[in-house]
Amino acid sequence: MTALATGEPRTASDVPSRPRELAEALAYPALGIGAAVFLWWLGVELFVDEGSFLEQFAPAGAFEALASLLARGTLWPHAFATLQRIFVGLAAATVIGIPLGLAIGSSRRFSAAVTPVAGFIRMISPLSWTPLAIIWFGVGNPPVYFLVAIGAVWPIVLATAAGVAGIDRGWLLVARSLRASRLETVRTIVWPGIQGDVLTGIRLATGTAWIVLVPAEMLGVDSGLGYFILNARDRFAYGELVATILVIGAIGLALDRATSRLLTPRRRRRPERGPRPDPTPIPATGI
Amino acid sequence: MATVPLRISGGTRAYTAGGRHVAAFRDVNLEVAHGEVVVLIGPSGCGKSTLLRVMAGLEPLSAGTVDWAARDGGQPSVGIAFQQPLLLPWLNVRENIALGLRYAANAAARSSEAVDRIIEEFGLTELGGYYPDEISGGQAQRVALARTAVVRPEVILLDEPFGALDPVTRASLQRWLIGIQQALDLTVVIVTHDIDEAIVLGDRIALLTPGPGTIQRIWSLDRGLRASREGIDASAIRDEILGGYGTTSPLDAGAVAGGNLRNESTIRNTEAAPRAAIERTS
Repeated sequence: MTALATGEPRTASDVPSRPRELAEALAYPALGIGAAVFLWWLGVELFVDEGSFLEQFAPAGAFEALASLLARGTLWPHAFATLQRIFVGLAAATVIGIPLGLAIGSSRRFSAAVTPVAGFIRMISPLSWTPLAIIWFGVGNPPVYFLVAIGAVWPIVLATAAGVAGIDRGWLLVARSLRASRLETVRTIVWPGIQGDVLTGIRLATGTAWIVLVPAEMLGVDSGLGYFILNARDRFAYGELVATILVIGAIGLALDRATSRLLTPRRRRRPERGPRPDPTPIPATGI
Repeated sequence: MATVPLRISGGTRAYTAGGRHVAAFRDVNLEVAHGEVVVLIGPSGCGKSTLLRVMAGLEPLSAGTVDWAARDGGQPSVGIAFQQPLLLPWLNVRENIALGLRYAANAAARSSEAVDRIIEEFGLTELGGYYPDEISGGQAQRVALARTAVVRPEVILLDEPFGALDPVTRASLQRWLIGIQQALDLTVVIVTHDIDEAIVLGDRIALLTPGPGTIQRIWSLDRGLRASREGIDASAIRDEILGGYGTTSPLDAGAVAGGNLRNESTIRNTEAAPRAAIERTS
């Protein structure tokens, strides 16, 4: 039985300390990563014949190559090029996706007209557009931006439209009763009301963009992590290939965490706020 | 002569639902005088909430007219609060109250002290920095009323404002509302289905018939007595209003409640009551 249940006073050991919380927060992910690396090692040990070139895919070779790549600074320009492409592609998807989602969520007729076409395009794998993208935009960054954007736009459109459709009708009534114009209603009610949905859409879009980006970089560009994987393959540097895959995964995870953390709306706290008053209503005037 | 900030004449609201023509209310005539509290009461489905929304300019009339006193040349100066507070969860109490002042239509009410003043008047000073999920239901409803009042409407319309609250909080807020209405000389129209609430709050009580609603009777309560209500035989008034629920014939306007209650209208009564207090018979 706990101290709380027995009514005993809490001792210092009952109070969770910050270092302890931190240690617990780190311990389980570390355990999971350790287990994954062990399974990776075990798989190579069990299924790869001794002397085979596939031994280069083992953790030891990959980590060694990773340390070497980082030490020489070889990966940084490629990682930077990849990140730059994802930001441009995501920005385009956001600029197109939010207004489109707002329009679909606000107008039943527009939604009825656009949804079949949007649903059709959404179900086409973004990489299917590659030949057309190269014809339209040539080689280099522009077709990659296009492929990232066309893959990332749909989560933003859908999340925004769902956010608008899910707005409390009562809030809109309040705005009307306070004589808000249509634009003022969007600015003060709709936009703040759907921010959580939009941010969720952007987070999902980031994941999609990252998945589309790496294969897109294998076509017609001479930089980026996707390009570097092909380059490593052509050089038979399989350790570097696996190291690049690790970096791609790590950056993708970091992006997901960053978007999740940065895009979560934070409630502004008022420093002057005192303790919460008694919930009993306080008559403002004596009667 | 008292000003009439809100007047509805021959008001009918009908709409089509499922291919059928349905009237929410018909031929309603009502004037609301400055500084009075009018309570609309009636059975569910009698159209009283629809009537309130028409008064707020949120729905059009199918027939008849609704006239608002306009302070600034044309715009209806009417504010409405609903059964649910409908506070915006991403804004704190102060920001919720100030919402209406962000809109161009209410520019006239905008001033640096407008929000401070209403927060003080509504007894919300300590709550300014809190968010809607951190305050109680009663507090949230007071914030919603402050949000309506901050733009200084001529008439405040309340659609079952305390209907979702527990009886103790409701009684407390009713007393609070009476106090603030008198202190600020507000003109208020309240929809409720609670007869006791109607008696506590109303200067006049308008009973609507079952849907499509029309005003069956209007009772006037002694203005001077409303502050204390000690002289009112509430059970007699309640019985008479309950009688009105169950009949369409004019009720006898006899000396109920020791003369504190006066029958002002029969079915389709079109005249608003004068503001004078009603004389006692005893």
